Amino acid sequence: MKDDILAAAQSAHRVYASVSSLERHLKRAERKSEPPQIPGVDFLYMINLDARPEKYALARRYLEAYGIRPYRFSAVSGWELSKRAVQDVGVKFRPGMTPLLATTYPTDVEEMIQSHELMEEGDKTYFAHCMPLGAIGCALSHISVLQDAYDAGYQTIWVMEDDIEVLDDPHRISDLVAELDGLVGPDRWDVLFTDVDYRTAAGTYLPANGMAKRPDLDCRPETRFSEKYTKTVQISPNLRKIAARFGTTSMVIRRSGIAKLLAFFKARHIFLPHDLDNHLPDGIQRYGLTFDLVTNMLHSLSDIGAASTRGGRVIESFVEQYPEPIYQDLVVGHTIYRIGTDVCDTRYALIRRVLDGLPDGFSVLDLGAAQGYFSFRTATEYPRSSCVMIEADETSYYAHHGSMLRDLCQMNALPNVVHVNKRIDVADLQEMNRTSHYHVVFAMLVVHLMDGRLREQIRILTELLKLGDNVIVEVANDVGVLHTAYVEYLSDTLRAEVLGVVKRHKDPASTATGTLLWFRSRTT
Amino acid sequence: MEPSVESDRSRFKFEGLLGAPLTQINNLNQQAPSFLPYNPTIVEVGAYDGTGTVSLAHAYRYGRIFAFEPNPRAFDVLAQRLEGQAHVTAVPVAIGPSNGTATLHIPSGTDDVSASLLQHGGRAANGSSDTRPVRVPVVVLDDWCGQQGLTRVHFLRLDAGGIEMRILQSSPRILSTALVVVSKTYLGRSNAAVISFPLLKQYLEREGFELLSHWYEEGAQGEATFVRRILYDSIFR
Repeated sequence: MKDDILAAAQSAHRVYASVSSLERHLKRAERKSEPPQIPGVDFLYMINLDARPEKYALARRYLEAYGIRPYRFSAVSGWELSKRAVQDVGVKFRPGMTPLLATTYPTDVEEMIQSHELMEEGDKTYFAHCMPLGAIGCALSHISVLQDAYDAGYQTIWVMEDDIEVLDDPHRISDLVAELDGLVGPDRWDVLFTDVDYRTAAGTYLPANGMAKRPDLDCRPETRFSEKYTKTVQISPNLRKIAARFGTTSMVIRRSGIAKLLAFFKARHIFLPHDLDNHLPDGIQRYGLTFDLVTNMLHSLSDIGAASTRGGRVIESFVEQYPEPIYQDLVVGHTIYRIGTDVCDTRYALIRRVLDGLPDGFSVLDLGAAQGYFSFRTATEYPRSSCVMIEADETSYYAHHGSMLRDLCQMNALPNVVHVNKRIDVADLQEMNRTSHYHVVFAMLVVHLMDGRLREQIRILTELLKLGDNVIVEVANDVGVLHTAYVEYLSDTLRAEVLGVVKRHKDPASTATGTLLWFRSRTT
Repeated sequence: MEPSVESDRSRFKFEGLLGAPLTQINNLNQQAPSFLPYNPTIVEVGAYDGTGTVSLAHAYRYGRIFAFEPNPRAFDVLAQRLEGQAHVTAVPVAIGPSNGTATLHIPSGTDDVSASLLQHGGRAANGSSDTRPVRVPVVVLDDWCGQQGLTRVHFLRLDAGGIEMRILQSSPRILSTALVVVSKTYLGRSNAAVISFPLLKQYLEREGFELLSHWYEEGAQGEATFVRRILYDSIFR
């Protein structure tokens, strides 16, 4: 019996030893269920630390607006790695390697502490100089995802980190993948980044100018800064062939790329932060876009170890606090978090035409301001204007719009914006007409929510048209249709101008549109 | 009127590769940790009252630190500050170019921070005219380390009243093992015996170091961080 146990243990040890020491520390993807949601992409992964639910909440919003739900991969937390794991996944110094100033995590003290040393001890594990545990965990997360995708037999995956910003419909990835297939051949590319390059907090691109040093690769400057690692070639209006770059926020990876990356890391292990390591596999063919589709968020909090911005934490906490769908994109300072379910930028572009013609120091009444997108943008871009936003909780089916707007006002701290937390009716509008008047009134898809009866809606519209020199009313093609019909009749009668017809929802399946009508009082 | 932080900052000049505006330029050890193991051997020449030594002691809990201070009054404060820090040894001797005893010229009054083994025309290295002579023991760093069985010093920190370069020249064995040298620098002409910064830089470059940062006050003093060239090249070239 004892011999049997010994034999089993020895067998288990042989199996253990035959596996790459890095593979032992890959994390499994548990409870995968999300079906494919983008044609041409088999599976969508979003890497997120369990300790950072607020980052996931924000990133998820960006994609949900387009009806996309990636699988959340519970990231490897580098800060919780064991000493053994850290020793197993790094590069062991061997004869023939270039000795670099590198960082180790000593095993002779209990504490997980960095030690910066010139590589000289054989078989000792080293990482790039000052490489934090968070970056080791990040690399292990990416490699774990690759292993899962490989084992699942996926041909094409989309891997995202949780600090994404979605700037356009991610479904475009299908067309871009097809375009790349057509241009270079489906077997001739491995990785497609969904943006131009990594963006700094200031919004500028941060290009990589070569290969970072690895002790097991040629570190001579003529190699590191050669075309292989620096040359970028535009191959179509949308696509570029790229070399080294920073950031691994969002990548579409082909099975060929998955295999190359896994082979590289299993043989050579982790040394550099993942973005500096993952372009090094021999023959890997990487491409990027000429525009930003899904890219890194400008004010994101880093989980790697770098300092973070306060603005990021605030918005992430906000999103976590309000788990329901958010209607409008969020404006905080000069940053727009495009996580709303509705298209806002296009509408604002139409409204600006009206604002640009108003006198300096104009006043705005934003009725049913939702998340204040239009008022915050107006107040920021026209700092001498003043905006009154009306929005309350429990209005129609929006339970927390008033509270959200209160919080957003605090976050923006704009002196020229006021929030009135009240659900108003015709009587309130009548009272307002006795005491105030505005240069412009926004009534975007709000009148039909104030009262379901057409007769009351007409009374509301009558008051609204008296309340502003300019009244912008948005009506929908799919909700409040009687109200829409009446407003369109009114617009003919009063010779209102159609500012534009916009697609309302970011979800590509949605056919909902909104028509923005500009009513001008006869005196203006 | 107290000078503002901004005016303080603009007083200091910088040369080298890494530097951020500073409000004071003493004890500039902050760049050293990126080039040192977690358990370095550190020699601090001219530890004075131990302000810098204490921060080194906290930063390197697994290291060994030897803090030399020959000024008796300052040494008492140093020793008191380091009580309970088993990995730090305070040594009441001067490090110099030869073994024996020498006169330490201590400025009178409470500002005795610029004590020096140098005397030139009755002035201490900082140019103050009123000094008090005290006989102190002096050892050559190479010899002292040899006696202690220290074969390597990772980090040398020198604030020795103008004889920093002489200390290095007289201890080539230990200098050859050092990875980081942080030294007080002198840019004035008040004392011909004090080795000026350009000479120190030339010397250390010849000995295989690169200047990482040098903050200084024009015509006065500063502090420079030198890093072993192979480490510097590994990161910056």
